[in-house]
Amino acid sequence: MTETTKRFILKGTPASSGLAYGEARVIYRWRHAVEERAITGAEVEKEYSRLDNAIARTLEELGEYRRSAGQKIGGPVARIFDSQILIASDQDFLRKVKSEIRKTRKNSEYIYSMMVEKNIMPLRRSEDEYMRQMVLDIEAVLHRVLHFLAGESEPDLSKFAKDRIFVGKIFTPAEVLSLYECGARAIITTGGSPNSHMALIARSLIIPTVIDARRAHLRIRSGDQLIVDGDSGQIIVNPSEVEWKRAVKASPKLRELPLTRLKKLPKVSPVTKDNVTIDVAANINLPGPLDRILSNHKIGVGLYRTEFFYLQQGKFPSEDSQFDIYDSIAESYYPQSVVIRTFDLGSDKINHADNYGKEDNPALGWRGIRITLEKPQIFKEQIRAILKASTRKNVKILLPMITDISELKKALALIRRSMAELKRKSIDFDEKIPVGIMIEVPSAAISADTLAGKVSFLSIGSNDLTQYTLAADRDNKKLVRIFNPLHPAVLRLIKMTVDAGKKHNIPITVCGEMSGDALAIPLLIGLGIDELSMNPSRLHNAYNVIPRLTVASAKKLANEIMKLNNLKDIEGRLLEFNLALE
Amino acid sequence: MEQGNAQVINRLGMHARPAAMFVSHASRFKADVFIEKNGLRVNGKSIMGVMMLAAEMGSKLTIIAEGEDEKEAVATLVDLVQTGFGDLKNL
Repeated sequence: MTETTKRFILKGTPASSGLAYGEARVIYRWRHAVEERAITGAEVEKEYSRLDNAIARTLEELGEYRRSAGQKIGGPVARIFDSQILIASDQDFLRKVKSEIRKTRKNSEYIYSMMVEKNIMPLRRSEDEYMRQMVLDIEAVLHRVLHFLAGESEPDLSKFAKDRIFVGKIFTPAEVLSLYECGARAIITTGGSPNSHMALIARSLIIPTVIDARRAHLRIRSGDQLIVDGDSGQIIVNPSEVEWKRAVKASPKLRELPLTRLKKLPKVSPVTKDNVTIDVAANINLPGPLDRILSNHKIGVGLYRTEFFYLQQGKFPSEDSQFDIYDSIAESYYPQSVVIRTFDLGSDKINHADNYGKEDNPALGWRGIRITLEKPQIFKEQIRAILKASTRKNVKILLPMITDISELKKALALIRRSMAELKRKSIDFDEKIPVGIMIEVPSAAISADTLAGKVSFLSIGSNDLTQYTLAADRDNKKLVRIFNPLHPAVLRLIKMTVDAGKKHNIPITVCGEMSGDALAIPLLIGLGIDELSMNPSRLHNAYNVIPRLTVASAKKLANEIMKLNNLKDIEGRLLEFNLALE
Repeated sequence: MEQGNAQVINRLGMHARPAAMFVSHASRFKADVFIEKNGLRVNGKSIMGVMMLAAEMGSKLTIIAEGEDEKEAVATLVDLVQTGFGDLKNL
């Protein structure tokens, strides 16, 4: 390796799942200093026209992006552009800018920038994440208006080299769409936040994305080879030959785009060598191009996270708008089943305006079912919306963060009340709709026996279960080696849950990252897990591993593993098993 | 000219989302709409303006409308603010 191609590692925040490798293309945003120019009285009208024209073109472009997002991804994501449309349509602000232009006899670029900056400066430091997103939207509009004022030709993103890993300081949602068209294998940004609009769009297109990677756009050069891990947030720049080969070998299918890879999966559920069909399902956040593809491959939804609707609008969505989404998803996936999880929000995500102040420990705080049980109106609205969407009989309800039987009883009572309300109005729904619970806290796993008697299925949230059991924040970069779902303590809790499920004859799903891990899959099957639900970008792992094993050997493996008492031995044995698969 | 008073009851006041909601609703009316707080008046159809008002919880606002549907405008917008922007349950 030469000096210019030195190997180094960057760590960022994972924003969209998946592994990717390829060549970097760094995009620098052209931000020129805004010119300040004096104009004559006669030129004022001309400045007005220039400004009007630039804003009209900005609005036209935004309308295009909105339409394109609507077609390619879906309604809720398209609405991400509404905020910018609202900003660009602000006639009153425009009038003020024009008045200032006339008063100061300065050019529109200068006055427009100056007035925007004056307006948003105090907002930049807002504690409210939604306000900060609004600032980003205002800046995005400003830059497009300036761009059109400059009358420059567009660096046509579509002319960019295809198939690269794109790196930039930050990307707007519109740019992510464009990068997707360029066949982006992954996206890396220096700034950004995990619930920003940009991250949401990247996730809906399953482009592996890492954000908040310090100075990435300065340290990575176009042409550098990269291995990007959208789950851990790790980026290896100019990896060694060994690392590169390992990445290529581990996932030869990564040559293709995640969506292409998905389309090539077999159109039947994976079957083991001893002819047992293993149910495989997907974890989904929002409707998108994935839905038809997965459904065509007989893959259902093991976990539909409904928080997105809240995060996108900044408030709990109405019953009607929820019904629209749930019904369209139920329809897309029919006859596969769709498991809809009720709102699982915490103070780290919830809008501060919704009256939940900052907590010191959001993970151990007011979250999940606790919030919705305190707001029974909201809970019942969501339940009614889900019930109304269950007429095809392929929908299930999943309750998050259950820690105690009394919570479960309250929730079930509210569900029964919602059913009664619909019956009174003669509204159709699946009266036998299965209701299950997440097993994601130790107390739920330990008392799974009591809980299992009251529900139709169990869903193990291995990420959170690991976090709470090992007292390790999964986002804490220092604890990366400690946080591991293969820890014997976590495995024992999983086994307890499975035993409870078997005793009450109900199915058990694992819906955390573990279920998409090639090493863990045989273990989970051997322990008796009925369904593996994973991020769609990991599905190829399941289809790869399952046909190469027998349930008999998986059971034997599980028995061995449960006797081991340390992580190193467990990982070692799993790796051994994996390598021995033909 | 029609006007009405409303008090902001949302804990974090009239920031980002409520502001956008207000402007969306106000823009549907033919009448001109203004919001006045402590003598400061902004155009109710301007997102930049309404955000700058930064009406915190407890602020007393006067909503003013002038035009064809001014009565309906004031009634709707006052109600919007008083009910915490349609999310009474989120208070």
